[in-house]
Order: sequence, then C-alpha cells, then structure tokens
Amino acid sequence: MKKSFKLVALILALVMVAGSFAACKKNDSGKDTADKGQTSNEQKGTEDSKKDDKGSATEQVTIEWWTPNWDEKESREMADEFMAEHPNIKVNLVITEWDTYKNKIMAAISTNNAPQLYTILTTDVAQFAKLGLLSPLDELGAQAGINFDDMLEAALDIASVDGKIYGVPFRHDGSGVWYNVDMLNQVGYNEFPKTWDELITMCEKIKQAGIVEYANAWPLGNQPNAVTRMVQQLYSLGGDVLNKDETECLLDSPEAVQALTNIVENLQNGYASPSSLEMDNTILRDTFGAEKLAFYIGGPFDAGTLESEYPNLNFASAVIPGKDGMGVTTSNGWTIAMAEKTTNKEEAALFLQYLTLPENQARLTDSFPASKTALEYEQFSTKYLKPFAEQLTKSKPEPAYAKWPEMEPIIFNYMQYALSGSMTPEEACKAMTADINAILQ
Amino acid sequence: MKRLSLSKDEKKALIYLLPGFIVTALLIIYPLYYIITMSFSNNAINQSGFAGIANYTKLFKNPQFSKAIVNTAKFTGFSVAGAYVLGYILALAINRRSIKLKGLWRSLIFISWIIPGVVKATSWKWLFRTDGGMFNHLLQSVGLISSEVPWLTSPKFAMWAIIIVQIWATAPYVMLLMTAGLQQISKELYESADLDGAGFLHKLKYITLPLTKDITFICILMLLVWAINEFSLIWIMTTGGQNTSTLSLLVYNQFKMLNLNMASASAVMQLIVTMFFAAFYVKLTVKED
Repeated sequence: MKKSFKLVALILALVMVAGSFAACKKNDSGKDTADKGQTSNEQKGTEDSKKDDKGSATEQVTIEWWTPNWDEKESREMADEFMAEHPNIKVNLVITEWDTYKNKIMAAISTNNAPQLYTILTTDVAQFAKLGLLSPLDELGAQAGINFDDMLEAALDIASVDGKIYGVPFRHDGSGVWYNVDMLNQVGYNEFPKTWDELITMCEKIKQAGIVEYANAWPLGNQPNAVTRMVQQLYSLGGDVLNKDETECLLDSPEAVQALTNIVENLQNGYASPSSLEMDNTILRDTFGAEKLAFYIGGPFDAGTLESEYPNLNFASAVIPGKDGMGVTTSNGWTIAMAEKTTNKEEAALFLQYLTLPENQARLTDSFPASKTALEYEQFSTKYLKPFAEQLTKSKPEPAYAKWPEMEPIIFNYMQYALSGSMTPEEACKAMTADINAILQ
Repeated sequence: MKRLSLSKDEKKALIYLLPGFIVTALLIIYPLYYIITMSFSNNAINQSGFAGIANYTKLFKNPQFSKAIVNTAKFTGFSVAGAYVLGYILALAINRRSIKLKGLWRSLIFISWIIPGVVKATSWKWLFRTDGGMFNHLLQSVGLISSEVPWLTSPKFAMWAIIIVQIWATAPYVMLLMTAGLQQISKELYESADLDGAGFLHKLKYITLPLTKDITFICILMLLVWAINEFSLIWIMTTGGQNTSTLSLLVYNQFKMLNLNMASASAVMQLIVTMFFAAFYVKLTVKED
C-alpha cells in the first residue's frame, strides 16, 4: 500500500514536471497563441502557422501594442483591419489607463523580450529613449513606409533625441479657453477677452452681476493639471522653468512669481471657485458643462463631451489671453514608440506604419493629428477647433526635462502653499527653486 | 570552537524546512539583496556598475528626503499612538460586562479595518471635501467650526486628516487583539483588586496593562510597520501634496522617473527607518521587562 502510494505520487510529480516543460517550451518560442492578461483580438483558431498572402505556409508572428482605454475602440478596429491584410501577423492589444499607464509600460519595456509597441505621451519619449529603452525608428520606420516628412516638426522634435526619431506622433495639441457664450453676453462681451487684464476685468463684471457664483476654476487638485496651468502662465509671460543646459531652475524669476500670482489672486479675489483646489480637468469640464462657470482653460478634446453631454449649453472656444495678446500654451500629444529589447521589430514597424497613416491618425484623435495631411481634413477645422489650431501657433512643448517627474511634485507642493496662503507667491517660488536646484546638482 | 552537532531528528527536520527556506529566499532574501545591490549601482536600467555611496549622497542632499523623513515620523508617531489608544479604549469598553451584543459591536467596528484601502481613501477624500464635504457639514452642525476647513487642500490640515483616517482604519485591529488579550486575564485578579478597594485606573495600571504587554508589543510593531509603509491612503487623498509626502511616496516618485537606483536607495532608507523604530521599541520593551 505504502509502495503503491509512493509510485502514484512519483507519476503525478513526473506529469506535473513534464507539463511545466511543455508550457515553457511553448512560451519560449515567442510565437505563442496564449492569452495574456487584458489582451484582445484573440486569434480565431489556435494554429501556430498560417498561409501568407502568397499562399506559402509561414509561421505566424505575434506583436503586442499597449494602447490607452480612450483609444480602445479604434485600436481594436485598426488591429483587425491590419491582421486581415497581414494574416501572418497577429496583433495583441493591452489596454492601459491614464493613471497607471506609465508605470506599467516602464515595467514591461525594461524587460528582455519586451512587448513591441506602446502609446505614450510624446514628452515621455526622451525619458525612455535616454535610458536606451526605445528603438530608433529613422531607418526601421522608413523601411516600413512611415512618412516622417508628413509629421508636424513640433511634434517630431519632442519625439526625437540627439537627432534620432524614437516615436511616431499621431496626436498633437495644446490648451485653449472654453467659455459660456450666454454668460459673457450678459456682461456685454461678444467675444472672449484677448489679454489677461481684460480677462480680470471681465471676471469682476461677472462677479458683480452675480450671473454665476464663480467666473472660472482651475484644476489645482491634480498635480500634472495644476503644474501645466502654472507653466502656461509662465510661458505666456516669457519665462522658463530651467536654463538651457538644465542646470539651474528659473522659477524664482519675476515672470514665475507673476505666473503664480495670477492664479493665486484669481482665487483670492473670489473670481475662481475655491473648489479649484480639489478639481482636475474632468471635474472642471463637468462643472463648466453644468453652467456653474463662465469659462475655463481646457483641451480641444473636451469639444465632443461638451457637445454630447450638455446639448443645451451655448459654448465657444478661444485662445488663452496673455500679457499683450494671445498667451502661450504648452503642447504635447501621443506617440507610438517601439521597445529596444524586443523581437519581431520589422512586423511591428509595419503595424506602426499602418497606425500612423493620415487617415488612421484622424481616427485616433479627438483633437489634432500630428500628420500634416490629416490636419487638412474637414473634421479638424470646426468652429470649436479653429481657436485651438490658432493657439498651437503660439505654443511650447510641455517640460520634458530628465528630472521633470521629480520636479513636478515640488512645484505642485509649493503652489499649494501659495494657494492656501501659507506662503506668498514670492516665497513659494524661491522655495521651489531652492529645492529643484538641490536635485539638479 | 564548539562544533555544531545535530541529532538525527534535527537533520531530518532540516530537509522539511528546506521548502520554506527556499520560498522565503525567493520572496524576501533575493529581492532584498537585489534592492541593496541596485542602491549601490549606477542609474540606468540597461547599465550597471558600482556607484559607491553616490545614490545615498544624492538622496541625503535632496531636500525632499528630509521632508519625507519628518512627515513619515509625524504620520507614524501620531497614527500609531492614536490607533493604539482608541483601539484599547474600544476593547475595554466592549469587554465590560454591561455591554450587550458584543459580537455585533465588534463586527461593526471591524468594518473600517476590512474595507479595502482604496475604498477607504476615496470615501474619506469625499468626506473631507472643503465644499460640501460631510466632515465639515457635521462639524458645522454641532457648532465645532464656524467656516469650512480645507482639510485636504491646506498644508496645515492635510497631514492631520490623513492621520485621522489611518487611526480610524487601524484602531479596530488593536481592538481585536486587545479584546483577545483582555479575555485571557483571570477575573479573579479583578475580584481581588475590588476587594482591596482598587479603582478603575489602579486596575488598569497594575493588572490590565501589564498583562496585555505581549499583545501590545505585537500590536504596536505591526502598526509601526504599516504606518511607515503606508502608500495608497496618502497617494489617493493628497498625492503627497500639501506637505504629506512620506518615504513611500518618495520611493514611488523616484521609480516614476525611472531612477531605479535612487528608488532602491530610498527603499533601503525606508527599511532602515522601519528597523530603527522596531529596534527602539523592542529595546524599550525588553528594558521594561
């Protein structure tokens, strides 16, 4: 009895070990058909090989694209279309989310045999590329037929490091103003003010008229949203965050103090809602949609939501008011990049070429594509988008310094000190400059 | 030198201990070794090389590090003390003979412990809202405050708001362990004390506290470790803003900028801080014994 039990145990153990080896062997091939986490577009059937266009039997190659959830529908459609055209290439999608996409991608892209393609913020490209995690695409992309000459130079510049292109931008946009036409009409404005001083005058009129409790609000409860607004103010006033060689922080400049003062005074004078300190861009848009604000600074991608979710809202867009006219917006966008330590790069480049065709860029964006050809499409010249296109002519890329992820929380923290009245804008700017200089050394 | 000699049974036992040792090595010892190695390496995912103490020097020069240490100490000190005192009071209250439906009360109080961290943090974030938050509404209704307090949007209050939530979340754990401890104490001791005319405070000081010392030790040690490593609560409620960034958030921020070596150095410092607190507390306890 004891012997037979041992025998059964031994057989079971052998079966388990054999099973593990079989599974490992299957995965090692890199051309598996196994499902992975949130992957989709599962292959119909489980065969490892298929016939290609010419009818010869070739092994099927699997590539993976990490794409954000707001692009999920279009991404699935395009992957299906591409697979129909290239039966020897299987595309798996991994759906990412705004809050966690960067950390997840960072973990995946750092491994050997990493997934192939990733949708990332254009300003993240330099950070990944400098660590040797991205494939240069100049040659690989050109071979696959990617037309880099058709890309907006401003977008391509952000996606390039030391003269090499590390990502193909497909969306490029900046901020602008959304305003409530009826509310502005009530205080005698047929169009949005052109300068910051005129804007403040309008805010005072709105406050005096009591049309709405607060004229505007800021997304100051969210770190990247809040810091972006301060940087836009700073750029509009002619200042900058760091010097050219990124060795010295310039946030104690008079321009930076004024930039922060503009936001602080806007709140302290009762023009902006105190709830700004708990808002992000989404809450801000919804508050405007609910007609609790006369205007806010937001992105062109809000147009669709404002139109569909608030059908009775009479709204329009405008450029950001600056010191003597149109202010400066920060610009950024989305780019598809390829991992350096990955396989099947040629197939991935083919798919990348397909994704970044002008017509597909137009499908993937609610704001503006990075393709010059696609930018000419009618859908990007609506009355809502025109001011945003005009604003892009006066734009600067969002900060993409190597130490930016460490700098951003510092700026945010001291902004909050100034906004809560614990520090004056001068003190806050001096303190953030000192802290940033300490990490730059 | 005395040679280690093992009996036949002990040698046999070593084989049985092996699987446990391997699992521990894989899950704890190797990651720890890896993090320590990384903290002394050059920064880059694709490169490695001995960097000496450069990562630590940079870390100590970073003003965010000293702020994170102060914030971690404040958060840990107040939340552990608060949770222990509140948990103990709850345990004493529930252990009273006059209290009925003890199981029900215990379960109700324990809800705050079993709710997932993200849910806790998100709910409290809403409760602490300046404009329309229930916490302000409640305090205004009972006349404790005249105007709304910016709980999470002011550096003056944000850390205290997070400490309140941490106390609320961990006090039930203390209550549960202390209830078990209190039930172990012989009733005869209290009866003798009653006969001697001892009051509540005397009984607490000379019977209850000394006899629950071992459980107190475990409780405080666990609370310390949890508080030092707390991340989700702070991240969700303030993202480390309003001067609430602790060592855990510093590690995360370093990791976010792909600075894995600095993140490792920060993590090692976090480990040292945890061990310092634990060692200090263990020493204190041993001394009392």
